[in-house]
Amino acid sequence: MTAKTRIPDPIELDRAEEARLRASAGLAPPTATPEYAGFDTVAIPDRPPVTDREKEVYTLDEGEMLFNMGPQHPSTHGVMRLVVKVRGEIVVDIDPVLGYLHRGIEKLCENATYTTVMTYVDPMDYMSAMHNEHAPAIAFEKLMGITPPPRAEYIRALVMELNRAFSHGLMMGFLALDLGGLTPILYSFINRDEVVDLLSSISGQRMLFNFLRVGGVNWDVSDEFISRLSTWRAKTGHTVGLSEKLMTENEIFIRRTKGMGVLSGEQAVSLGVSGPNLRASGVPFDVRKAHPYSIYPELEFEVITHEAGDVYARYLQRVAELKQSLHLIDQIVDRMPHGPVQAQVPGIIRPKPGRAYAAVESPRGLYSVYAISDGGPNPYRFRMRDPSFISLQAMPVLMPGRLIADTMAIMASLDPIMGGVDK
Amino acid sequence: MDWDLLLAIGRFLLATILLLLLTVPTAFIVGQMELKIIAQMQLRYGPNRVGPWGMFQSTIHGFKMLAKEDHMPDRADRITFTLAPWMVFMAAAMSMLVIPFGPGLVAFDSKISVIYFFAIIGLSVVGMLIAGWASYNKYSLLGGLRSAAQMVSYEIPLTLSIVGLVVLTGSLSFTEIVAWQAEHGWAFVWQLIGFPIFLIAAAAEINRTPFDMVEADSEIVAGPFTEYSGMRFGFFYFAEYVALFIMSSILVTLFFGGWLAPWPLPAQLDGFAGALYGLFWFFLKTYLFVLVAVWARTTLPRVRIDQLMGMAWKVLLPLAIVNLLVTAAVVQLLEL
Amino acid sequence: MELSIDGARNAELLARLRDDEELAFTYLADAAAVDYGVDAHFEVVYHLYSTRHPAWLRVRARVDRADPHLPSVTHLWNGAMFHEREMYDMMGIVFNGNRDLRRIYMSPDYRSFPQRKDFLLPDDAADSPAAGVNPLERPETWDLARFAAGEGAQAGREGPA
Repeated sequence: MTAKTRIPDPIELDRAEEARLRASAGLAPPTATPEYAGFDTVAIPDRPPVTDREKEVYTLDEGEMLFNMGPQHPSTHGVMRLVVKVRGEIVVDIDPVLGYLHRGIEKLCENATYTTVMTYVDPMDYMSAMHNEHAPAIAFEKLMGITPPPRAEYIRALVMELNRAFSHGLMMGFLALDLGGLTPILYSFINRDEVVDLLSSISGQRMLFNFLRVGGVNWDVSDEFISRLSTWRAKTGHTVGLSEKLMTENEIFIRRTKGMGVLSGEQAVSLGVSGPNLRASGVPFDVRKAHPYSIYPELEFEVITHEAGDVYARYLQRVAELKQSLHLIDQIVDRMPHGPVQAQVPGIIRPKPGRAYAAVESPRGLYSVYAISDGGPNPYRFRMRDPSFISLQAMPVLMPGRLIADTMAIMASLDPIMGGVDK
Repeated sequence: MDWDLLLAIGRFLLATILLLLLTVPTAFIVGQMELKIIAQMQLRYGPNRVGPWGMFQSTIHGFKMLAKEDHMPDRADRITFTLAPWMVFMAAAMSMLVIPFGPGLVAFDSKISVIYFFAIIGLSVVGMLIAGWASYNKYSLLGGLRSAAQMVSYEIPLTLSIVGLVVLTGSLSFTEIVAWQAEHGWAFVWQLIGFPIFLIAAAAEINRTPFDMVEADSEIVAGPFTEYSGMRFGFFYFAEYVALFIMSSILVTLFFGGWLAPWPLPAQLDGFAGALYGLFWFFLKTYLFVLVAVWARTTLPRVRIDQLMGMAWKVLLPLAIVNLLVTAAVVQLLEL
Repeated sequence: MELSIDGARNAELLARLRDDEELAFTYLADAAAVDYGVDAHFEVVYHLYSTRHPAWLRVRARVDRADPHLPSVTHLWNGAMFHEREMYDMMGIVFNGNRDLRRIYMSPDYRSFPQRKDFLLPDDAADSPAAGVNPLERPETWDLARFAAGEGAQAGREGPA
């Protein structure tokens, strides 16, 4: 096929089809309204900027260029579009465009029973899906006035810490991958594979576990699970050590991450950043300590912080929290009591009208649920506050002045998961 | 009828054709090394279906390139878009003409083969730059600019690090440098600063991790090659691996004795057996350095573009000059 | 865990809560919007955490449904920007003083507010830029004779099939 036969763009074919159908139906052709420029233009933005901030971002000075990173991009942690204004290689401004993964989970949950909500919230922060279920479970239990039995709480905490461990491991891998080191991610996946296998043995699912229920968990963990867990636990220190050897002391890695994307403590609090990002900026706020839930008051651990607030500090923070999670897993396994794993809960859950707020510490940060019940079988309002969504606001603050190459490093260090960002 | 001239021309043609044919299995072998060795270092298997131990995976990749649809962006500049892969590949192929593969096994034995080699390698800069520009794509443009900046910056330490060796050996010809090394021992001992500089600059010149900002596929997708597919991309892909092989072979030739063996044959066999022996050692040493490059790719993250260029201008260039001065001084003093 | 109900002067209240030495509710954990029904009001609910003591506070601000305007708190917390954009996008509550009040999840030319209680999808189609005028969304415009003739979808296509 030579370059002479020009293949028409599928958009043009659709337009031609639509015009033909409209003509055959006796309608006038569609008028192009100013707000709907469609795909005719290839420039960014494709509509004139409206708000102040839009005007700020999309007005170009001398020598500046706007270009898109994403939505299809090997390393934007999901589908996200970043409109980057660069001057040469230096980023001047950045505008995240979200919504590519928006599934309307909050609205869907308003039509779902309280049990079905557990399946809906899983794909939010899909990298550590148990935490997405934990917050709604606690909120609904507050609405119902139910306390889960101790064994259920311990199992929940165990699973949460497992999720945290491999999620932080994956963040290490993604950070290395975005910087060009191909290997640590595979070591992280070695860890994750085994855990995901374990969790699939108790919940039936490898990634979007539908495991927690209002009043407890769905299945009990067996002794075989505990023994496999111990084997994993013994091996995981080694693989994490391998990744660390490749990253923590690596001169190239340090030079690319130290001093990058410094987020001060006050900025972080003002932005609403939470979790390891906040603690790496020096603010010792951990929901497990500040507003304890589940069995965390009984476990011994400290809030880890780092002072620097740069990418390297966020990386070290996550490595330290990974190791802390492993210690917590040890404590939980030692102390796990016997007993039932689910409280007595009616078949159709109908809480009394009321409001409940529950917050958990997910690997991304503060994950909270605000549920309003009107007495019926479906929640009246189910609001989830995802930490990645709010942490993304740090991007336009951290990026300007850095090179494009650092964009990816900074984003990997903030560790957003688009499922949570877009709900 | 000047039979000698005809014979020389025939010999040259034969050598050229052999070298061009050699590039193909070289690229396949280097590609296969990348796939399998990186996999083993990452604690996984790598391809193991196609052929015994997955040996033919890389070959199939090459044939896959042929089978892909060849498209061009609508507003791309047709001529330069087509020309870019040719230039990069030709730069790699032409530079193979002066590499001594064995005793007497050089396609083109010239007195100035060092100059020729580094001049031809510079053509690939032009190729990547026009690839980035002709694609009508901002990512490609960024990649092309990065590659031009990087490769041009590193040409200087690359060539300067050789000049010390040239002064030491007193010749600009690869074959004579190898001959010098046969008498005086391998040159990396003599050029302890020049060798690392050349190693780093060569890795940067061929866009190899840790200096592969150009094709950093976690940032700008594929850099200047984003819009290329099918055999056009195949050319770039080939050229990258062939260039890796070539740079390794030059490194070996200049600093590690080329086709010289650590222990020579007991009876200095000329002719066929000697040539085979030389060939064997040449390829062994070259592939050893290719292995080092693949190892570096697995282990190291990327150096950022400004740190990269800072290193070229602020660190490698002064070191190369110092190396040159010291070598010249030593040669003068010791009347070597 | 307390809660307080409020009118429309939320910005001053939140500023006082944040800047007060004793209370020090410096962390805005969540800002959500609730729709209480078609003939009731909206409500914007803020959850605040304090650095000084372990309590958290819920502030509920009532917003009129017919004219949903509320002062923005982005000058107090930079992180309120995305919250307010989401509330605008999903509920249609306009925040006065927000520098960047545009849609965050839906496409910029979307015309409905999905999380309202009176949001129905067919309405949404009618409200979208194609306005239900796209003949493909209306069965009465489909030319079924094309399919009956057996030419299938290739009839009338331009260019190579």
